Amino acid sequence: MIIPRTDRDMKKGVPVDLYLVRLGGMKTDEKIEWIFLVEEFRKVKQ
Amino acid sequence: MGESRLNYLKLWLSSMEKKPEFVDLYNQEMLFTEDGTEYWLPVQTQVMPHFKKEIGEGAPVDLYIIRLGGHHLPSKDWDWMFIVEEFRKPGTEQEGIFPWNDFEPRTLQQLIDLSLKDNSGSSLTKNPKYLFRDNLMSSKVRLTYTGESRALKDDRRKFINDWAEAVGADPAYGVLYERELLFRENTASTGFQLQR
Repeated sequence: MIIPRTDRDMKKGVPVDLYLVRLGGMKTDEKIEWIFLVEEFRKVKQ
Repeated sequence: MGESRLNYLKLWLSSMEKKPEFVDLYNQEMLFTEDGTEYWLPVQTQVMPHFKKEIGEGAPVDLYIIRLGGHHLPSKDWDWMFIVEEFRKPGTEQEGIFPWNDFEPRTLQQLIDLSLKDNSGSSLTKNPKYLFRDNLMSSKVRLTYTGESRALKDDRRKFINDWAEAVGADPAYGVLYERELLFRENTASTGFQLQR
């Protein structure tokens, strides 16, 4: 349940470290849409 | 989890307009002690294996919990309901040894390139439009948030649910992901599914 924290801790245009897992991809007509799930995020230390 | 606590959780989910399937995420409780007092706390099913791996029996732990409220029991006064969202070994809040060190630093483009070469999980589905992968390739990627978000599209939600079913994960797994946020890596933009 990290969505509520994104408003507080994620700012537009600011780098962020995402911790994600790869499920796979969906083929569309011209490309593959890869599906990644974000498990957690951290603000980048300056 | 006992029936009365389960019913309370269902009632809370309903009153908060949460999806009833969430109850499946909290069908297990773990016993904790604080100053000699014992507490049974519901823990997300997907968190439990990591917990058992990282926190030894009798070892201190920091819990990140949500308070739902309490219900009155004739025999026990108030039974307070808390659910465990996350945990850390004490003293590791900054660096975090669990579970984030399992996530290998990569760029997203590297991950996609690896995913094209890696054929693991292809036998998990007969859907010709799906490229399932059973190695999660847990990764840490550094991106820039664009400030944009959207509701998770139906076809992508179905993909997550189908994947969870194919790998034997909790069928309620997909319920956790309702929105996507848009990030940018160099010049490319990619949508990601974030837990509610």
